[in-house]
Amino acid sequence: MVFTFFIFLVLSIIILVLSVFGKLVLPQSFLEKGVAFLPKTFFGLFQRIPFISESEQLKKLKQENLSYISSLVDQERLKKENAALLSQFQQQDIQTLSLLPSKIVGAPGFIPGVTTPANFILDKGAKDNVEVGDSVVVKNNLIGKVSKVSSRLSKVDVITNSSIVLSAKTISGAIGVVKGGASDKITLDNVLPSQNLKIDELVLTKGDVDIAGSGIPADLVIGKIQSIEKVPTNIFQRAEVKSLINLTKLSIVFIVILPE
Amino acid sequence: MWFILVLIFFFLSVLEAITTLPLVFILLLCLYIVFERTWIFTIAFFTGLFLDLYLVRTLGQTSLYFLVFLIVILLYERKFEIKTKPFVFFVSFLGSLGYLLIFRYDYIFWQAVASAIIAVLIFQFLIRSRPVGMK
Repeated sequence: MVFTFFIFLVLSIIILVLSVFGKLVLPQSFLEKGVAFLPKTFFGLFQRIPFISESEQLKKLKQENLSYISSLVDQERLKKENAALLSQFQQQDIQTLSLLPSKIVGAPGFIPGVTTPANFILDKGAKDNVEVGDSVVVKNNLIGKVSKVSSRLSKVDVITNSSIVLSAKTISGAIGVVKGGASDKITLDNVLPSQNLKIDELVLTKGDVDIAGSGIPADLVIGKIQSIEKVPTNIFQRAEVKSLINLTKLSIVFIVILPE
Repeated sequence: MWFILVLIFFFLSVLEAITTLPLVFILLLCLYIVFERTWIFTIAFFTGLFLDLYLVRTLGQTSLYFLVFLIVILLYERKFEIKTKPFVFFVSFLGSLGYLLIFRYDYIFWQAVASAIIAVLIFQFLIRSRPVGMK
């Protein structure tokens, strides 16, 4: 028994080391062909369970609400661009982004359909030009960031995941850092006390794009401020933010990839 | 028996797409505690690889964790009686805690508690359904 254990232990270590150094891409790609259809099938069935799926009317109302919020964000951006052009100080390039629709084939969470998933597994991978660091959106709402990519699948850390840290701003111009946390929380932290935060104010991404153009684009909606914590003795104030998207009900998302 | 086990593992592996509870891990633990057979290491290895492909993790990570934990049980078994509910609860709580920490899931404590309770139920079921004559 111990001998069998050691054989498998050594095999596991060898596979792990080869995988870390990227030597198993081809065999992994081949194996994924067989494995990838399973989550697609099963997760799709799970989402059709009556108490898990949303009513059509509610879905329609939520879609309309998202459209109005999207229009509001666009309006604010256009106002700023107009002001910048008028003042002749700034000129902004409107980057054309390429959106890759992707089906969610796995969304493991503590209680399925109730607690927010820790991450999403999407049915697009390196073969579809998905890279680590790509942002994932629904309309113009940020859902998360790609954290791992294999040839046919990719893993997305959702916005409530504790690994998410990104620069953000409010509609009124307050700047801070958004962090995901335990228990589905999103916190807007490191906001100067002199800056004004309001309940129900929209929080947007400030933009964390690298020199190659990949990363999180600016002006994506993160959520709305739910509560504000402003203590006079603290250096910064913080706010709790709630995403406008119900992450437990998503089935299709869009990966923002660089245009070719 | 083999067919049922394969089916159970397939089912649990698919469930891993919707819940972060380490169901495959606790089933392996219970199987090993009840049956103490070598083939459980084989299943642990292959289901670990399957889960790594399925959940887009580095290949080998999950298998390694499963195997290391099972061998710890094997070493512990030589000194103490392991076929008891308190032991199953304790070891599956600790094992689930480690698993959830390593793979960075949320609600770690409550998931570990839920996993431990499920493990005790699975253990009870396996003890009652194992073939007559098996210790």
